[in-house]
Amino acid sequence: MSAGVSPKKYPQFAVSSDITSVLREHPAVSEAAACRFSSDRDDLVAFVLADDRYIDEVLGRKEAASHQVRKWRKTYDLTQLTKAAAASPFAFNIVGWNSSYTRQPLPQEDMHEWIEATIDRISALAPTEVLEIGCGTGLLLLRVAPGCQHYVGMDFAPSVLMRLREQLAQREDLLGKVELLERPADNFEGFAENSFSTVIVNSVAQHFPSQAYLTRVIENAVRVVRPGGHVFVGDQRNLVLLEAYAASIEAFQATPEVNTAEVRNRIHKRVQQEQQLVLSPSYFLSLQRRFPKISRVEIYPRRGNRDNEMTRFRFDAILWIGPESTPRIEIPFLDPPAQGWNPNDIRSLLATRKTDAIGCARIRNSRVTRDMRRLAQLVTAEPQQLLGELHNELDEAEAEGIHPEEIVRLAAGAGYKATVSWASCYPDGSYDAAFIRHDSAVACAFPSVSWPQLSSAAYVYQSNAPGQGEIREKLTQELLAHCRVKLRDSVPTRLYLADSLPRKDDGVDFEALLAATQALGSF
Amino acid sequence: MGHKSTIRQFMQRLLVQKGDQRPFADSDSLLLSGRLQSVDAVELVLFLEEQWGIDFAEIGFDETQIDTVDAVDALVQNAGVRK
Repeated sequence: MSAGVSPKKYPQFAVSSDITSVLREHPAVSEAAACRFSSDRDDLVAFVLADDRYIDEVLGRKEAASHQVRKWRKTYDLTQLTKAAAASPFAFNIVGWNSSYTRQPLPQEDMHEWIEATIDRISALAPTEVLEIGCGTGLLLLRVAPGCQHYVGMDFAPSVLMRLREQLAQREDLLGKVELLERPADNFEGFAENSFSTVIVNSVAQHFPSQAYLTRVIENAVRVVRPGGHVFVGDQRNLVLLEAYAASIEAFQATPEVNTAEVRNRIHKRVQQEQQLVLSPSYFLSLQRRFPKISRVEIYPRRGNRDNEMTRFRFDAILWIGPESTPRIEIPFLDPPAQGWNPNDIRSLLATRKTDAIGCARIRNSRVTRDMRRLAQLVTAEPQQLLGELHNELDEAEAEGIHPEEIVRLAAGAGYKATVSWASCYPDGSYDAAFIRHDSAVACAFPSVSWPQLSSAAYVYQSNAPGQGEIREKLTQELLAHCRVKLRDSVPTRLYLADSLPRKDDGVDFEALLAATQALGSF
Repeated sequence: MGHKSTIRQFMQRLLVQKGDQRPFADSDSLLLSGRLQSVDAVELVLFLEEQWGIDFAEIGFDETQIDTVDAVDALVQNAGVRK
């Protein structure tokens, strides 16, 4: 989430095993690691993996989560009680889909493209028996269900389902195959193991109250999908770009005479007060280790030519369930030239290399290069500099990088199919692209590519913790107090609640932990 | 305490939570003007349901119904108060 600041070199540090052991004794801690810098012996940094059950039961997250779910339920209910919802055209009830920039409804063209791109991706998975969690007013259901044998749509908001039932009444052909259930996303009661080909969770997980809740939903989804099937978690907001997203919105909404210091405050506040669950692709990649039934995870940026917050900042995660039938392709990934990839480099690469498959790593993503530049400007600008002056500088600059859709087009022109991936979690929103010749034996809709290796730092923080600020602060203070009682002087000066403690051969990878923590935020 | 002052107090609390300390009149737009947002609207709706049993599923929902203190007060009056 940092603005492309070069990574800091860390001074020498030593593992602090006394703090680590004391932290591990606390019931809220499932794992811990601490280190002391040799240059400043007073700087003791501790990293903790908290126990979800403790946070839920003892610190009250479960109760807070249930209030949060109730609020989202009401939000969706209210959108469907409006006259606009009642008057929506068939299969296109987009009431409530508002732009975060203008707070006005998103343009219909954007929503049409968003729906079509989602349908294309899901259809390519050839679903037959579907469970859709959070089916809403049926934007996907009414399009995907006709090609399926059985489709179960679940939603927690009664008025949303009421609107969907009104539409289904016009489609008698779907009555026999579609079943609607009013229930929350974590209720899988009555669904047998291996009973669906596909579970769809599209643009829904951001309303889940915590990462732990999402993991429970995914655990159940994986259980009910049979081998050969998929779990499609679509339209997820990317944690790696959360700060760039916040900067982009605040810069859009602020008047030109607001100064940089104030805009920074607003960005910080927006990130801290984010109400939605925002996930890193690394969260989905880590699921494979947790649930052995998952054989493969792919992270694709959203398709689409329209410029909006979905195409800029969101991705689809697809989990493959059971043994992988697509052969794994080991393809060479070329690093970018010094100036970064440009379309001509890639065109000539595809024209000259007589190969079935080749990859380009770290292509700068023109969808977000302006947002990243703006963020970098805001980080380095003088506090009193006015936003209007920064806008002028940015307006003159061309968007750098290559649009992912241009990659697809130029590859097609050269006889290749391009697959674009965000699995590498580059902090500036860059992506990798694999090019596979159309007539190659390994060409398919979702080629199983060995993407460039993800840094272990990317696993340290896998989501934000919406609405959990107070609970996490309480936990942090509780752990520090515990250290004070047990160790007196050796109390951590900084304590971070992480999602993973990466390891290397000789123990915990503190370099990765510190790098990830440094990248947490620019302000 | 009358309904109106209860409503006013609640809407003021929503504004303060957002760091908005600016004064407002009972007729000032809070939601459509952007001072309060949809998450605040939901808090307000939940409050109205709990406090006075207003059922939006029955009466329908429109942001103008809860845009000002006056509008909310009228809504409470029209719905017939439970408490």
